[in-house]
Amino acid sequence: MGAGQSRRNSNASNRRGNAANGPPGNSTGGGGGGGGGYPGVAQNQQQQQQPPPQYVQYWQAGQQPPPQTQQQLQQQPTQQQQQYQHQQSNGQQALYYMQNTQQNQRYVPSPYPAPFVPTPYVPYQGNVQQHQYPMQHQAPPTMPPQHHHQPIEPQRTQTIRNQVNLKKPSLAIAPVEGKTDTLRLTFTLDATSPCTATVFWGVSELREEKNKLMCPMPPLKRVHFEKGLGQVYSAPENELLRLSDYEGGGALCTHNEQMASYPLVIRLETLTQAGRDAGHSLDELSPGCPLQPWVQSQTTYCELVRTPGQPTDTWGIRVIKQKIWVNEVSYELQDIYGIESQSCAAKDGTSSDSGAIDTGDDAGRECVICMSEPRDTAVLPCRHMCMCAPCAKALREQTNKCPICRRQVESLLKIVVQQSSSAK
Amino acid sequence: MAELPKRIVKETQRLMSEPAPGISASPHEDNLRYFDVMIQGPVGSPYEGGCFKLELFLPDQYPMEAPKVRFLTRIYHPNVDKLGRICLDVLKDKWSPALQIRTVLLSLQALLSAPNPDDPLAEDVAKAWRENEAAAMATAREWTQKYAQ
Repeated sequence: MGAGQSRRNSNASNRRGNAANGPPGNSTGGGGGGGGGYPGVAQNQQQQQQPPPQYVQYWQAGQQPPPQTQQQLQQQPTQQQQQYQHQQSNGQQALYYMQNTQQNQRYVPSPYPAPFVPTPYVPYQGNVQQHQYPMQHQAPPTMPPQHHHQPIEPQRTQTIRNQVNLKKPSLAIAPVEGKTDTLRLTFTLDATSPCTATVFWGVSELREEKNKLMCPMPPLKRVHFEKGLGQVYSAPENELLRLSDYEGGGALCTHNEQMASYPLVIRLETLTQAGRDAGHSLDELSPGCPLQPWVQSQTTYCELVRTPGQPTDTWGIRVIKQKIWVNEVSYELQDIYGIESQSCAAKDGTSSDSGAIDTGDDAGRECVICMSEPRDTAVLPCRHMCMCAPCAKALREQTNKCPICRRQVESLLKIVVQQSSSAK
Repeated sequence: MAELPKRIVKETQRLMSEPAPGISASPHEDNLRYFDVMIQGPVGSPYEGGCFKLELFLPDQYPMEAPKVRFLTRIYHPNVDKLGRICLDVLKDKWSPALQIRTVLLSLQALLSAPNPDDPLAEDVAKAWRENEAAAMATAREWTQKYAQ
């Protein structure tokens, strides 16, 4: 489309373009079977007993698309067209993913937007991008967080059950008593099946080799965990971080996304059902080896944050990103905006319906439309969890814009936050 | 009249219990969807010292539809016409159901601080504003003294 066209025109064709992209009424929310699976978005759930929401949305990290993602493309055409359309869309897919692979091998324009970096809304520019896609696939711009998002290239979404989750806010590193130079890493994890945690310091990741981790230091031992929520990892005595090994630790405070090198990587691994059935064991694998098809894992990439102080500096951890590996596909975990306040509501056991004069806190939990029901539905692709399911449904009948950012709604995702009593 | 949606009840409660600075809004007793609004002219604007009356009506479709707002007090402003109608994006195509009475009124307060003669409703005022801003602001101050006390 010509960039010189008037705003109004390009807006109109934007609408048409999107309509052709995917059925607007398509809702992922109702789908996905019940069951107690679980999510990576639980990062803000501080309380241990607090089970995370049941459904989670992950964003595909630009590898081979799983079969479900193509269904959307097939939904629209008539039966006669279907075969043709299918072939065509496969062709496009192939082109797209090949392109990503090539880019990944050159260096790293990540095929998905960096997490937590919403970009400002620039009217209609995204449209141009969309039409060029996938030929001029670019790394997303990095801008300060804002409410408004620049339309990015369409991403397909699907719901996956995650078996292991590291709770981001629980990550901490603190000096061991009596030694200012030696730090102990601790974090909390949730697991729906037995898993292991492995910590790597100063690694680089080989994406083309199934996310193999290259570690110059001798690899640390796997730590085994049983199934359970809120389990605490505390670095064993012989695996503490000695800053002297890293020239005081300055290098641990920066990562390099292009080189895929990270100061701290934590990988949680568990067996898939197929892996268990085939009699595999996680102990077969050396730490950091390429991810196997029969392994499901979550990898957290971090860097350290040093705050100068007296008598010693204090250290913290910043999570760069989290990725999961399911069925040989790598997905990046993205936060759902607004889920944390919802979890708080569930934790407190209070409801926004409590009748009394409402406090400001309440406003963060209730549906922005009816202001009475708790929020349980997120908008995709912008991930604003801001509505209750009935209001979300009503909204879709009137508009296809997210109430928070006005971005086009592709689908809705209902997120069930279970009360601890009903957790399995 | 159908029962008042819970959202409107809540919004009203909050507006009354924690009013935004310089803004007051209270519903009519016989029509709880109809509000009398007062906005104080923002400090530093030509409307400073003025007290502007507005009416605000929540249509049946609210919050899927924007509230209808109109100035009752005469005001010399490029985005407000003779009848008090207002040209403001969030009242039109930029409306979102996540916005509220409070946020709309805050937007109006901001509009008083930052007139936008490039998207005018009152063409004559906007023209004056573009051609001689100082004179236009003087007129606005004059009108504020005259009508908005």
